[in-house]
Amino acid sequence: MIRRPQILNHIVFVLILLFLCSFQTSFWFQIAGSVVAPLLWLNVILYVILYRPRVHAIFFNYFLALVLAPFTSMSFGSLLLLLLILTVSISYIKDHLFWSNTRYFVMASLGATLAFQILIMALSHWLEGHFTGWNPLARLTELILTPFFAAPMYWLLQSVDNLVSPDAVPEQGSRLT
Amino acid sequence: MNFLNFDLKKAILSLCILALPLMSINMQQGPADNSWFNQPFSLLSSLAQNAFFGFSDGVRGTTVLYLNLVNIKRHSQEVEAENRQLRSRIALMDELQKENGRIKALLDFRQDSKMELTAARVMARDLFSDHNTLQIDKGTHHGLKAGMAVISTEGVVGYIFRPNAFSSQILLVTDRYSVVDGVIARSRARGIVEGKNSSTCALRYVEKSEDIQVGDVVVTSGIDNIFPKGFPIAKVESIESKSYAVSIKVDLRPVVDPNKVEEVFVITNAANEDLTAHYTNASSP
Repeated sequence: MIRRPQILNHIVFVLILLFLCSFQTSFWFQIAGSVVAPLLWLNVILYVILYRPRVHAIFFNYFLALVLAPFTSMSFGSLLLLLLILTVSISYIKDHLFWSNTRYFVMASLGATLAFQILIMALSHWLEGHFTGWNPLARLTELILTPFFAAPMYWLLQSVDNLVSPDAVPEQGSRLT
Repeated sequence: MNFLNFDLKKAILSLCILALPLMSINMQQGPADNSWFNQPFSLLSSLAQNAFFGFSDGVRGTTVLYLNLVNIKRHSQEVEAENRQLRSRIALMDELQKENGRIKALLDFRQDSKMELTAARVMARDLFSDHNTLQIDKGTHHGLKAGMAVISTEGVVGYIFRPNAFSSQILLVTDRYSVVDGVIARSRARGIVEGKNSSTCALRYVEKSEDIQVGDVVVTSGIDNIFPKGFPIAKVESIESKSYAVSIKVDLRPVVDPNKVEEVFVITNAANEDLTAHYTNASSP
C-alpha cells in the first residue's frame, strides 16, 4: 500500500520531470541554439530504476511516460516499450553491480544514455516504417552531456528522497558480486 | 668728571657693533650683486631650497598623480559602465530591429496574401533528437486542427501533427514521417518530399527522365489545398541516378532552417492561393 509521504514523493518527482523536460525542450534551445540537449529526463528515469523496487519502478516509469509523451512526437506505445526495456535491463545490471554514490550514478547515466541510443535505433528498425538516422554527432553530444548533468541531478533527487519521504529509499540493491 | 677715564674695551666693542652694519651698507653696490660672504650661504640655501623643492614637488606630483589616478580610475569605471550599458542597449536595439524586421515581413506577408493565417511563436523542440517537431503557442482554442499547414515567410515549415488546447506540435518537413507533395519550380517535375534527418529531406518517386538540376527549388503542388500552390519547400542539394533504379535520388535542403525559425503562420484556409509566378521568378537557379 502506498503511504502518504510516498504519494508526495511521487508528485515531487513528476514536477521535477516536468520542469526538466520543459528546460530541455524549451529553455535549452533558446540558449544553446542548435546544440543537442542532454537527456535530462533519462536521469530521472534512471534514478527511479536504481532507487525503487523493480515492479514499483516499472509502474512509476509508465506513469512518468505520461509526463514525457506531450513533449515528443514519439508514439506512446513505443515510449512505454522503451522505458520497460530500459527498466528491466538496468535493474538486471543493478542486481549484480550496485553501490550507492554519485560516481556510480554518473557511470550508470552514461550506460543508460548508450542503452537508450541503441534501443531507440533498434525499436525504430523493428517497429517503424521509417528508420531513424544514425545522427552520430547528435548521439555523441547526448552521450557526453547527459552524464555531465547526472551528478547535480543525483544530489537533487537524493535531497528530494531525504526531504519528502526519508523512508522511500528502500532498496540499496546488491553489492558488487 | 674724568673724560679720559672710560672703558676702552667697551668703546671698541660698541664701535664694532656700529661699524659692521655701516660698512656693509657702504659696501652694498647694487641689489643684483652678491657679496663674497653671501655666496656660500646663497649656494647652501639654494641647494637646500632645491632639495626641498624637489622633495615637495615630488610629493605634490605624486599626490596629484595619485589623485589623478584615483580620478582616472573612477572615470574609467564610469566610462566602462557607460560602455557596457551602451553595448547592451545596442544589442537590445539590434535584437529589436531584427524582431521588427521579422514582424514587418510577417505582416507584409499576411497583408499580401489572401490566405487565412494564424501567427504563432515557436516554444519548444522535441524531447528526442530522433524526432523533428516543434511546439507552437497556439492550439485548438485558436481554431487550429491537425494537418493544417505551417509556414514562415521564407517557405514551408511543416504541418500540425498533434494539436492541444493552447499549443500544437508541428511535424517539420525534415521529420522522417513528414510527407509533402512537391514540384520542381523550373521543370514542373513531381515528387514527394520526405524528411530524412534534422537538417535535410529528400524528393522521392521522381522519374529518371525528369529534368532536375542542383539548386532547383522544390515548391508545393497545392493539390490538397492545405499548402498554397507554388510555395518553396527546399532546394536540390544533390542528385544521384543509378542505372538499375527506376527513380532518381534527390537530396534537398529545406529553405527554412528549423533551428532558426521563431515565428510561423498556420494556414487555417489556403483559399486556393497560387504563388507559382511569384516564387518561380524569384527562385530560378
